[in-house]
Amino acid sequence: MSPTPQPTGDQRERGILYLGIDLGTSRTSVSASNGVRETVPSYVGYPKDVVSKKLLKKDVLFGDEAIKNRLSLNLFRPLEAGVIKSSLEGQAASADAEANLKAAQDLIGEIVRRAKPHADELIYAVIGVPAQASIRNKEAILKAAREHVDSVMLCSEPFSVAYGLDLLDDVLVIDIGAGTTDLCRMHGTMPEEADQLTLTIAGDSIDRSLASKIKAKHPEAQFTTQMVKEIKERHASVSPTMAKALVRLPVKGKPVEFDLTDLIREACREIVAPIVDGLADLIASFDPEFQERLKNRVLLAGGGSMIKNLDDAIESEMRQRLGGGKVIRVEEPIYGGANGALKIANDMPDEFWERLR
Amino acid sequence: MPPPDANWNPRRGFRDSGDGRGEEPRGRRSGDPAPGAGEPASGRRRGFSGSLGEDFSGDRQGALFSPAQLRRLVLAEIDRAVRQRYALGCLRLAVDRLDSLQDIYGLDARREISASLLAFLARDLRSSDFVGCLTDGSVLVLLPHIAPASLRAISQRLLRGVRKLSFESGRKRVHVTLSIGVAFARGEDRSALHQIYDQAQAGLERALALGGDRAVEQEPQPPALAEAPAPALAPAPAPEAPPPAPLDPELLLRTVRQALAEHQHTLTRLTESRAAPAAGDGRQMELLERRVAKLAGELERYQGELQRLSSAPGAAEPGIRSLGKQSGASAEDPTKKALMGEIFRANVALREALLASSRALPSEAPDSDPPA
Repeated sequence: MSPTPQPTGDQRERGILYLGIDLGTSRTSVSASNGVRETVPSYVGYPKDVVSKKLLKKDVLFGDEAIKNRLSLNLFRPLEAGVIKSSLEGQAASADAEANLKAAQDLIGEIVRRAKPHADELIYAVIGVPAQASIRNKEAILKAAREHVDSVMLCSEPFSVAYGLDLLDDVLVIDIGAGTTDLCRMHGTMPEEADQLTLTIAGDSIDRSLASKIKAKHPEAQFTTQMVKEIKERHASVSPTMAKALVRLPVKGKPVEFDLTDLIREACREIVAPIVDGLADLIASFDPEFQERLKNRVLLAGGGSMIKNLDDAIESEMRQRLGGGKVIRVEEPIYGGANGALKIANDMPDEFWERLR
Repeated sequence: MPPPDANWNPRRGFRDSGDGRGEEPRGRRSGDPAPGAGEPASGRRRGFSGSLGEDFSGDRQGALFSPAQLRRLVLAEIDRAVRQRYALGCLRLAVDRLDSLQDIYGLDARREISASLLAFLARDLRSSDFVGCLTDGSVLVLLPHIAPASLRAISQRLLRGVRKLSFESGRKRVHVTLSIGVAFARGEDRSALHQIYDQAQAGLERALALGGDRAVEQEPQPPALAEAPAPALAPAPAPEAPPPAPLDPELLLRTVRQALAEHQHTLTRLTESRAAPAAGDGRQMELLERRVAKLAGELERYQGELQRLSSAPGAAEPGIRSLGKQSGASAEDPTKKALMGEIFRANVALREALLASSRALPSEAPDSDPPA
């Protein structure tokens, strides 16, 4: 290991902006040490041709703006299952992989820009990655981030959520994202491989399930994945008494109202059983003396935790299969990961940052 | 202000008198009846001064001039109007929806329409009028020795004439219309003469905004807004102008660059004239000094506008300064210190693994994942 480089006077004078970034499949959020908090849907769009470029007056669009103008854009959602698509197996050499990596770089650049760094500040960032991301996934994220920050560290997403809430001892974290659901067992030390579990049953799988259910029940209805995602985000619930989800979808060009209440509830409920399966595995392999305590400290985080009544549904399933349990919903599901990553960035000694530059 | 970027398409030739002063125009005098009340003027071609040191001799029908050359040509005409105290009219013409017509009927149609418009103007205007074709497809016409009533009559006649033009595209007949910005300056009103292009441009923009097929005459700016006459030798102070209207930053930057280039050019000419004074150069030097002073004033104004834009909300933000580390006592917690050490070591291990894999062959890349 090389000797620790000391920060120069110039660096100290320049100041350091610490960033916590939650690079999500659906949304990317940032919390910064200057008080800025921003979130942007993880979409990156490039104008298809000179006409669209002239119309949009931009070389690259992000988030809602990209979604809104998607017909004029080559639209990328650079992350899948919580990692950059270029790093997924079988995609490493394709042209798409390059494009996704570029889109991820631009997305990180945009989220850093939205954190409004002062021009003369160094930027140190902690980025949350799925608990079981592979070395290739991490390499791609590091490569994308280095373009825009001075020093970067990666950290397990569920760990950063727990760290942000100061719940480091005997806690089970469920972080439901769009691409993955991460489960992590915290017991006062850094979680190891055996303490973490990544499921691919998450927000996107609910979208796919809901789309296939609508297609089966209402084959005449016309819709896109984006429309289904919007419907889910508006009505998602697993409550047996959920409000009616009346949705207008076009049928041969004419808007027709459909009652999708049952379909939405069924699709959302599909994640409950796999999550409780994962919880059961993590609880069963824990010290028997602390299993009861662990069961009663389950933390529900991530965008997926906004599904109404999901905490009750998981508790109910835990009661049936594990004899009890208590689920606590975090207050800020969107920023939970980013806040925790910022806290890690703050607590990380400066010499560690310097050595990773 | 002179046109920012254009290619001059003089339908008349330019002739250098060779004496550095140029030939006096011989069009109608101010107050003459509308020059096109019917008959296009015939006779000799319009001469153009070679006082700027450029050789514009010969017939340049259809020739392309650089923007700088064109700017000097227009400036020379304005300078001549100032010197000789004759009135100057300026028309800025654009075919309505020309870009849309090109989208529908193609580039050839656009070219044909533009060529027909120029041919029509060549037929309908006097030989003493200058017609310049700008790169955006619009047209600039400078009409010396003209009365306001004549200028209005000409613009109305051009509108009527262009309505009669028609083009064929397949089975369709395409009719076009014009939008015209009209500006007029009396010979004795020097500041108005220098604003004439901007006024015509503003008139054209207004005509287009109102739906086209019309001529809009732009009134000169009120005296408070008009450019104050500059002192002979000292740079003009920044005028007490009202709060400037919002500008397109890109356009402003282009304008500033042009003003800077022009300022530099004029200064060079002034220096050269001072270094080698020749008989008859006194008047020219005085003009150059005034021009330098005016440009200095303009640049100051632009600088103020740039400062205003940079401090406006939504402009390039300076960023929000970091509050520094906010962890306080929590960073001293031994458990957290240990966790931070583990995260750091995991990241170091990850980098070392990546470094090793980048040195190895791709097939030998590590499959195992260091803890992070």
